[in-house]
Amino acid sequence: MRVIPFGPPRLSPEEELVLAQLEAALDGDGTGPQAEYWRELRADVRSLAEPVDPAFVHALEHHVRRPVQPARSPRTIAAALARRRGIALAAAASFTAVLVAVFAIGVPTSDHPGERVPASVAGPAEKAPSHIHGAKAGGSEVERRAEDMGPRRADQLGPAEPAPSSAAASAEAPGEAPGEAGGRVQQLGAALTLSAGGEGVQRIADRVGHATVAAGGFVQSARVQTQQGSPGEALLTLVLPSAKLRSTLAQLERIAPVRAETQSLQDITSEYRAAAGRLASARAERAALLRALARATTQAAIESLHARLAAAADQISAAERQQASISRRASRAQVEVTVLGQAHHAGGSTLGRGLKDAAKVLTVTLAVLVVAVAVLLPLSLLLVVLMGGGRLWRRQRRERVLGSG
Amino acid sequence: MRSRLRALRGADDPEIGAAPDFDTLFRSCVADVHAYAMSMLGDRAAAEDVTALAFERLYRARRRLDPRRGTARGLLFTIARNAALDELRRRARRAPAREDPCQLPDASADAALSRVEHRALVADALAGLGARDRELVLLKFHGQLSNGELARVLGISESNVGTRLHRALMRLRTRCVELEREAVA
Repeated sequence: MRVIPFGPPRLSPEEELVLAQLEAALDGDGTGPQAEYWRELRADVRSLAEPVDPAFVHALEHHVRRPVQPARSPRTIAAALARRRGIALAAAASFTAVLVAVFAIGVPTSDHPGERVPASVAGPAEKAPSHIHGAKAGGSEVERRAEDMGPRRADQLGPAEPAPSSAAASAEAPGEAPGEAGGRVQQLGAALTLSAGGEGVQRIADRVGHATVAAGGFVQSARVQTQQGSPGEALLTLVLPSAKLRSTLAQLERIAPVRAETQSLQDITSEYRAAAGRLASARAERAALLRALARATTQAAIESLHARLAAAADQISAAERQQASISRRASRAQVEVTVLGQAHHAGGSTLGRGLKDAAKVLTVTLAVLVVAVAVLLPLSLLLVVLMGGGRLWRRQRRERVLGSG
Repeated sequence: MRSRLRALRGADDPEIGAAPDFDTLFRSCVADVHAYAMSMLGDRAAAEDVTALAFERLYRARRRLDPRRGTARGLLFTIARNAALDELRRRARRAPAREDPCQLPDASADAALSRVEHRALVADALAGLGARDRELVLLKFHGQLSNGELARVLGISESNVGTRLHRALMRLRTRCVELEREAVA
């Protein structure tokens, strides 16, 4: 078995003595024949080389010293950059990592509670385009987010704010049936998120209920949650006359700062017309049956017509109920109101908001750094391995010359 | 930084952080670097190229030099060695044998004949060494580097340098003795 020694070779005491004598001799400290031998050998070896040409030394000195204050031409700058390719590579890798990190994390979206906009009553109409006037079927939605507005009230929004739902506006148009605009039958809805601030969730919820009743509507459901140490939250479902939706919303917005508001509209004209058509058909059929009954002579024909009249009466009742239901949907608007407690209050103290924003920025920065490190680390390792490998390869290539000699 | 470098190398070893220091280094080393390159390459023009390249690169890198990574002289010989090896690799042939020592400028006097003969003998002995041993001897004698500096130049450990240097010098000495005996016989 062949034993491969591990680690650098150890010098024997004799070798160490020879090397020490050599060093002493070459430094001029050693005396004796051995030291003289080494000095003589060095002198012989050094004398073997031709002496350097003084003209070359002069020219070289001049050449080397010339670029003491070199002109920074673009070429020299490019050359300097090329020499610093390691730095350039590292900078490029860092830039790439930061880019990847930013894209990986994405633009930080606000997780502000104010974005918790209750679902619109429009249902499937939420994804419809927001052209209210052009809505022919399905529905549309106008959404206005006020989370960045801070404590401003809706009546302070000014002209830059989107106009309130034209559906609500049209609903109040004189001479038109509730929920109808331009001959269209529309179902209106809204969602409102209020910030209770220091007033308290329960108090705000009560004021919302009072305003609803005063507007001729009612509170369909209410859930108020208040707990010690918890910010509290209230969820109210209001039913308002469509004609008074806009004014009531404006009133609600005065109760507490608005954090988010959504208004929706669903066109139910076709549904309404279909019900009306079914009702008219049923009535026409009933009239025809009555006329036939007047002309009937046999007992069997009379009984048959009576049965059919009963069925027609049922159809008329069903169609009337359906039409009434659609009319109710058009005349009433459902409003979801969410009241958020103090902790959700966006309009808190400046210091608190500042700290919160700072924490958010730090979190995002930390996340970017973590992703950047996660990207940079393998890149750096790869770079180090490549550079080390390249250096080793160059060295081995050079040493090969000596090996072949 | 300068004081650290001075402490590392001693007062007589110039550093190259400033122009005067570079001048001092240049004057003290140019002959040695040239002699080393000349011995390695056996070609005056190539030796001058290597010498010029070494000083030029060292001058350009003078701002980035880290004294913890070695002395300026050691770095200079590292550059010169790499350039010489690159030149050898380019030529893809071994450096030619030394010129006849009798043609050396200091060998013209008759009184120095025996000295010249001895140098010829050393030249033959040196040429008979392996390339690695010969390079080590040349670096030691021309570069006047310590074993630590040699280790940095060669990229090996200091104890390895000691072993290789001892072996190379012993071979050189043995070869010189053999050649001397042959000459006497």
